[in-house]
Amino acid sequence: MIHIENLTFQYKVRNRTTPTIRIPALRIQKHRKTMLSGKSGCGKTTLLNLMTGILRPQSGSIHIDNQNITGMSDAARRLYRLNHIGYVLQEFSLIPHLKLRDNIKLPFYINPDFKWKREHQDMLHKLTQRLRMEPLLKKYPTQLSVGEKQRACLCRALITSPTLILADEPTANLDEENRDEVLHILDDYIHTEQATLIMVCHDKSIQNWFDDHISFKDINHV
Amino acid sequence: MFKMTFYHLMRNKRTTILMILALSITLYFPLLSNALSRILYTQMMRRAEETPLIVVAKGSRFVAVLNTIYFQSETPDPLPMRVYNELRRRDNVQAIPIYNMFRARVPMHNAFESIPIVATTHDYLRFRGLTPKQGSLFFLPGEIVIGHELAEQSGLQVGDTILSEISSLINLNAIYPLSLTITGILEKSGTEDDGMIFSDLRSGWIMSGHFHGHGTPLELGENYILTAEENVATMRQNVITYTEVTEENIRSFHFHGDQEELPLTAVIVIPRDERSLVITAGRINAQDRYSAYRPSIVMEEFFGIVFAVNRIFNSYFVLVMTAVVCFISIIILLSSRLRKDEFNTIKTLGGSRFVVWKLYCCEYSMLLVSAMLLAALLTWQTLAIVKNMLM
Repeated sequence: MIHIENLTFQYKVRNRTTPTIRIPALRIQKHRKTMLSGKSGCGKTTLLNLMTGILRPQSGSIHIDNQNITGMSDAARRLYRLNHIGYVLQEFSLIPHLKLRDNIKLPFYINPDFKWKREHQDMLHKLTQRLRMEPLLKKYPTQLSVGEKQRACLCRALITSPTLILADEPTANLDEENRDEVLHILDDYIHTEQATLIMVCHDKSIQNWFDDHISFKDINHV
Repeated sequence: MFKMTFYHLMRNKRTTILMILALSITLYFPLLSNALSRILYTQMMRRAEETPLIVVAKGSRFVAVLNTIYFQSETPDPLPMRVYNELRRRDNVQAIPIYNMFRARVPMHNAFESIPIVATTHDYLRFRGLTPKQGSLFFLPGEIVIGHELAEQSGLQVGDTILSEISSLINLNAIYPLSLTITGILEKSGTEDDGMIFSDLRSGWIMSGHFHGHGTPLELGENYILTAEENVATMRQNVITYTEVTEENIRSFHFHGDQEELPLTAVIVIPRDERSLVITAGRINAQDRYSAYRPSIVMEEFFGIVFAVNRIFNSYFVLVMTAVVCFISIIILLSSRLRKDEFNTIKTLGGSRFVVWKLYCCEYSMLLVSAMLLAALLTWQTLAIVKNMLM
């Protein structure tokens, strides 16, 4: 269960603050797929960044599985993010000088506590096979299409077996076939690993795939 | 971390190679100069320590030592034979005369090189442990033995002849060129002796004009006679002296003047013990005209100057290295702007800001280690080439 209470966040640009988020209360159920929709620039990515601990709110709290994310130190939040959260970024953010295989394994390179094990190798094999990415593993990001990069990001998010997946429009640049495959993998993962998914999405055609729908303007009182 | 850094450097090969080259060239010169200094010091000090004492005419101690034991070209002022004879008469020292004044032209590598002719006695060869590999030692004037390296590089064999160089055009008494016959080639010693020519003392005095041979008045005729009284004939100065010593003319060779005044450039003194060394050195140094030097002390002083100069160069190289590191830092920091997204991704995925610093440290370390390895390799190769030349 994700509990958000009295959350406020504002960006500070040149000593001027711009109120972005004011959420009095929000509850997101565990082991469910939740869609988060809203106009561009309304603060959906900011909310995801607050949940991952990348940003710190000015006030309020975020509890994930009874863990107070906002009360943790920077190091603790970072470790929590590494261990429990899979984040599919909006801008893909693949490292250009690493081949695809190494990009997917990136969480293991940046955290010495993570050890690459047989189960991770199996997961990599399974994900890349299902997403038809095996032939691309030796390629560099500059050699991939937008859709291939997006699928690679998804692989990277799932390789550490997170319990919470935050996805920022992961199907935006995919064709129907690939989109369906991505959704199928996420569905499969959520049910197998008992994970929770929160996805920012504008595609109304897949609205029914989700268990819950949150409209950002309904929860944000800015 | 190393893997990520390695891939980043490999992806930007040209920049990486340029940075490594810049660093390694900066490291190479101080590495080489220091290594060369050390090698020279070790080699030269070993030889200096093997030579207990030298006696020379008063003058530069560096010139004296460098000429006597390393056969460098600048020669000290001449020392009379009398000094050698006096030392030889003492029972607590062994004396070895050295007359290193002249050079010979030797064919080497499609050109001619000027090689010192060290006129001495067999005592020198025994002292240095030099024995003939081929042929025999010199016995007569005009006979020489050559070092192992010299024989190899020039292709000279036993029985070949070489000519001495014109030592001075204004020395009317000098005999040049003198034909010198190789009677033997010495075993390799791994020292400066391997590149030298050794001759009898009399060969040196022939070249200096102190010992010469020419035809008799009866052989040459009236044109060469200045005055003639009963059994004594005074020859004119234009009598031509022999430039080659042969079985036929060797008996005509003779000295003029006091043989005690025949010139040497140095006397190597081998004392029986430390006390004899101190006494001998003290007696020589008490005289106005001569000096006794311990080559090891002189060479320590010499290398003290060399290492002091090295230290100045090292300070300069440190400054240059600092400048190069600063430029490379600028390149890396500028590249960090291009890598902003990469670092943001790392932070987003849970990497700490220390991960970014670790990446920078890895990058510096890999560049520095690569540069050091390359500089070490270049230094090693250069030393291998230079070592052969020094030998």
